[in-house]
Amino acid sequence: MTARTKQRLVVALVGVSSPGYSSLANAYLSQCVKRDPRLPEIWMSTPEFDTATDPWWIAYQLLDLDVVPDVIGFSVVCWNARIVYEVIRIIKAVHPSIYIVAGGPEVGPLAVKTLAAQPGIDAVVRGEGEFALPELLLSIVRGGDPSSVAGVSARVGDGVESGPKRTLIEDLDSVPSPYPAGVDIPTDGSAFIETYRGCPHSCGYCYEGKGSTRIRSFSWERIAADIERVASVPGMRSFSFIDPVFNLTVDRLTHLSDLLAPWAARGIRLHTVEVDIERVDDAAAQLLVRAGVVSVETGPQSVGSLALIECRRTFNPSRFLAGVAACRRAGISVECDLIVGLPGDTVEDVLDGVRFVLSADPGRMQLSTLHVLPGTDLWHRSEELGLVFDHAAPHELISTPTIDFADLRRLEVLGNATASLYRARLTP
Amino acid sequence: MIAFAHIDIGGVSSAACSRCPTRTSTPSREVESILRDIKMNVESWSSGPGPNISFVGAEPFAHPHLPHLISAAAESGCERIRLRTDGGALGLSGNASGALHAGVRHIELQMLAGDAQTHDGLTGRPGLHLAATGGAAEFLRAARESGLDVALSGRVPACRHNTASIIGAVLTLARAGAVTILVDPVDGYELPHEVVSGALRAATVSGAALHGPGISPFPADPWFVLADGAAS
Repeated sequence: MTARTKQRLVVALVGVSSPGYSSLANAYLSQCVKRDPRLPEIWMSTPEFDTATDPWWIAYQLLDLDVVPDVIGFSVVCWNARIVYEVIRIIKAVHPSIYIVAGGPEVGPLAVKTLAAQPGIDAVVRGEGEFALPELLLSIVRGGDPSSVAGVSARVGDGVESGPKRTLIEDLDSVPSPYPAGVDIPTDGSAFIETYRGCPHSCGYCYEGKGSTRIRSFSWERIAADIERVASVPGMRSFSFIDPVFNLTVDRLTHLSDLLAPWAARGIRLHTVEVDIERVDDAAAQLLVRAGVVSVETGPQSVGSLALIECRRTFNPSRFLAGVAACRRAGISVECDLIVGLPGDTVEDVLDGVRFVLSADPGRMQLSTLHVLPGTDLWHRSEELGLVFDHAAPHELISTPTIDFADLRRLEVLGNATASLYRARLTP
Repeated sequence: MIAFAHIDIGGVSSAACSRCPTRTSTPSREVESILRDIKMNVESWSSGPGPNISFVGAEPFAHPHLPHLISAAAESGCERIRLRTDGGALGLSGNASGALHAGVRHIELQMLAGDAQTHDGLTGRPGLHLAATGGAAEFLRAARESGLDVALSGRVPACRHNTASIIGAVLTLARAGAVTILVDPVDGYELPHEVVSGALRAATVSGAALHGPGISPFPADPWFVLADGAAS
């Protein structure tokens, strides 16, 4: 982008999501950009596509907008990376002057490598983008150096340079709500609310905590406002929360239940909230029911002792079973997740996990093969642990020292078959 | 896997090999006798998630009291009800959606060969292969339309007459949407090793889990020996 002061900036923040989901990140980012008083007039669009759409058609629709964007931003996760990179390649071939920004967990931890591997990307936002992106846009508008912005890595000439690390946003309430008045909110279950960032756990395969177990919460006033804004949309039937542990503490669960109960009484239901099932008893299950929760998602991910150690997870079988039973007594469906291929697990450990989940009779189960995600502990220790995986997104596991390639594939087939047989039942 | 108690409704499967001498006709069982079996299996269930029952024997859609039997199973507390069928009737006049809404969530489709000529020849039923795959598709379509979770399984009765066709049968079932396929040797027939390994490979790459007596993709594990019928 040439060094000039722009009076107007046309920005498109693009979401490419799995069917049934939309990009919460872009909802946050668009509000932050629109409200930054330092920026000139912003023409903002937030087009959403799903991962089933051909990337050439995504590129077509972006380039066919009424005004061709000056800047296109992409939220990149492991599931959409291949599609997004293809879209970027086509856009740059047609309009090399469009400034492409990428952010998200797939690219943030690997900013410099991403820029090296993807010549169509001009800048990568590392970590939280709510304040980094407006500053990056400001730098572009003023003809400054994007690579000097904290939390941004960008092309400078033939090289790549990185701005200083940006500290995490301490006051989350300073981030505008992704759901202000006037914004369309889906009523079909694909709207998500965030009440905190971080995770109390530090599971080796997960990027949620980003290396820290520190929790930063929105204020209760903000949470209440977002709930009201979403739940009061005419026709709202269902939404959910993206919090990694909905029942973080008893007090927090009680407070959330108090806020959600009036909406649950009107028939609004929460689906697939993630919980720490070992801390669910009958009282907690009733709080979930009162909040309108109809389904929860939980581990155990693995029951193998070595895998649990390597992935820094705890597992108490009897508390797990008790938590599932409490949910089932309360009429809440439980989806139990297992990950195939965690370091240390053998074929027998995975099968033991399936047997354990079936013995809990939770309602649903899901097996998925490990994806070694950028920035996670397993990513950093992959060589030490002997994990062979596809370095191209979505980073699917190829083999481990204890489960070879062929057995991983067989376990996938068996896992899917068992989950299908189990799920097909008269009572949900 | 998920265990099913087999409830024999009497008679012989219409998808059995007509060249095998064991194919002899037995009369259909009395309804009251079947209902007693259902009740007994439900009350004594101890084989993991369930109770689950599978109606086997003659073609269930030919049984005059099938709707009553399915209702009885559902009312008695069955979690999963399965029909072992030749598939021919599934595609006819609302049978698939009727079974679905009565409570059937599992279909076990029987197949002797992957090609119509061999399958129809062995069963002695011209047109059965085409009707079977069409019936399976209709069941899955009806389930999708109703938003119900169902599972299609396959069963390949194995004898010396269809040994050369077993891998083809497995592939056909997998392509029809079967998530598990049972290769079931009849009367102690011993399958050649290369047929077993070929069938395993065909099923796996097609996304179906193959199992059967002595068949497991993993080192010997008793859980895989617990194939269908273990609960009966």
